[in-house]
Amino acid sequence: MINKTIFAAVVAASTLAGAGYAPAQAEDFVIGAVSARTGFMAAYDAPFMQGVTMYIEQANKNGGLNGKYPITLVERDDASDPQKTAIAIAELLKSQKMNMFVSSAISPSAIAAGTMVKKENLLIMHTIASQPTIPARAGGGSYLVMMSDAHMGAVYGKFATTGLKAKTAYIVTSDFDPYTEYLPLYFKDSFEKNGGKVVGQSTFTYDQQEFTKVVADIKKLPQQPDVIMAMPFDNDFPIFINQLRAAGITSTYLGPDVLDQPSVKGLGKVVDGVHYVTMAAPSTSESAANFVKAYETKFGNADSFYPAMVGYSAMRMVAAAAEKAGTIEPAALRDAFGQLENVDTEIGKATFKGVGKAPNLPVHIMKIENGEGKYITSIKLDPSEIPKAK
Amino acid sequence: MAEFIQYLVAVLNLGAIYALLALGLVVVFGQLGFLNFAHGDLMTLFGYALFFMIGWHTPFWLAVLLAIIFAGLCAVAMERIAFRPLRGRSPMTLLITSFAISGALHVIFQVGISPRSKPIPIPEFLSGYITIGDVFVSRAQIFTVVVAFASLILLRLFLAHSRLGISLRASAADFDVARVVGIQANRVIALAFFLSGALAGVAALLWISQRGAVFPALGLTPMIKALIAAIIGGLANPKGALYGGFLLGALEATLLFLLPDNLVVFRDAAVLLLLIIFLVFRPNGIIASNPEPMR
Repeated sequence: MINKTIFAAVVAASTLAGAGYAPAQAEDFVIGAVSARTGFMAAYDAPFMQGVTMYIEQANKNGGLNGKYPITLVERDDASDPQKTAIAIAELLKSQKMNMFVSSAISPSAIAAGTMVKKENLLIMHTIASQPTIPARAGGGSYLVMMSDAHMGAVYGKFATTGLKAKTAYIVTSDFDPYTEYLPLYFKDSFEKNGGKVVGQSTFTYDQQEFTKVVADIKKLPQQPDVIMAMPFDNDFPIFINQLRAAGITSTYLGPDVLDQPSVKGLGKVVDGVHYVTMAAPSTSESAANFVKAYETKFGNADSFYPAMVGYSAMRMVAAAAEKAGTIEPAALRDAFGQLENVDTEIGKATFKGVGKAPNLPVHIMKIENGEGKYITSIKLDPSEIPKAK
Repeated sequence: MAEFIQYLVAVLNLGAIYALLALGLVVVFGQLGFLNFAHGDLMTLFGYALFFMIGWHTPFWLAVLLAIIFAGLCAVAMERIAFRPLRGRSPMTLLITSFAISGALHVIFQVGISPRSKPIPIPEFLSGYITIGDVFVSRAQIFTVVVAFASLILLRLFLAHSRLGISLRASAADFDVARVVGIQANRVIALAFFLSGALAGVAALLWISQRGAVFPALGLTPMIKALIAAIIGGLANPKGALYGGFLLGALEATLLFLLPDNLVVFRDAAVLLLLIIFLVFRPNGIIASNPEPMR
């Protein structure tokens, strides 16, 4: 009787296995990551990876990715140096069997990484990179996981004309980085398409220290522009905004998402009224607010929650792709990632299908008031409104 | 006219900070004959000390004073731990060592504190601006010029009239003779490093007062500027650092005002090109005395 039962069980198991119903095997989901833990890009890459790590810790407590695949993160520091990126990726490709990859946001590193992992059919995300040219040049499984520069510029153009009713704008660009060079140009396209007019443009260099000339050029205009869309980072921004306001120029300042930092908000009255865009607004959803609390508890402060929230949300997208693919096989995962629709994340519902290599998501407009970022509105563009990469 | 006054403010603002930084470098060069590349990191150390002390509710100006002393003590510690064991080696060895210290400090700041900027709340009177007719000047710029000039005058008085200052100048002029007349080498070198750290602290205060934040690479750009200013000024004389700082500030501000917008990106390259041409004619800088040999 016992022998018959065992025999029946073996036959049933073999039949199920043959039909593809084999019980799940313990299979690790391996993420290779070469990003900046040190060097200038660590300010953005490192918090993104903190978000990824938070997700992994929580998922592994519940059995791993989608409760099935324990997640292993294999990390290397490229010290913000594209040459070290290439060496570290070659070493990882040789020593690890990976299911997906994360690279630094630095353009040359991201493109090199995307190109190198392409032959392994890996899905690759580039921390908080926003340049649409990265996936366009890397090809394969290269995806951005946050709004692209084109997206951000178009949102700002729409907000300036419809939200602020602005008619004129002045842009300040810098070609030290594609982000600072092209974002204002995407803004210009969208602003003028919506009926506005860009009345002037200045350029600056990174770490310029002095903006008196730019300010004097704006001052020479017959009328102050309604808005100034400018790209100085947090190192140059305090000098620029001080000199701008000192000159009595009161135009609404539209800054990029890098202004979402306590060090900017803490500059006093001079930054009151400065606008910036972000994807991480804790007041827009309960999940976003909960993430910020959890991040603060884990790391002792919430200074870098924005890139971390993007990292955490990116892992939700990966989980959704694995669910959709029904497997964690790299090529299937990569293909499913590009077909994602309305994935619930802390940064909003993300859609890649029909959009391209960067997600369509709501973008939040914030305004600094009394040292705090005050939520103004969220704008979700129609995919047709997101410009093509320049 | 208004634009010219703006330009002058820009020159004084940039030049004063560069001069202070270059002076810090030259004070050490005068004693040991090498350029301390970790000088910029003393600015960063000042910034973090200020950040933490303000976080512990220390009154702002007391925190500034303590942070300047802290930067000075860090410079002394740097000399005691890293440079003293190598005293007598070639200046190149010491230069490479200073690179290593700088690299290690960057990693410590990034991993141990944060890779992102930390805000430093600047007192309200520094974050505003004043206008006189068509001329607009931020209060931080005025503060920079006043503090920098006051520091330069104090330094001048210290070097000219105090016993310690005179011993510092004597050993910078001729180290061996200074030792023969009883000046203690370790003491005077430690003093030079302390002074260098304190000057970096004052420069950092001015730098941060216009930016309101500290981050791991804060000292990198000012360090490079200081290096250029010290070289064009002449390494062996504090006056040279002063002239070099203001010349660099004047060149940068002039090019910013003169270059058309599409050429602004070439400003730093143009400044360096002009300085190379200058050094071809005056290889030892504005104050052309030969640098002291390594002790």
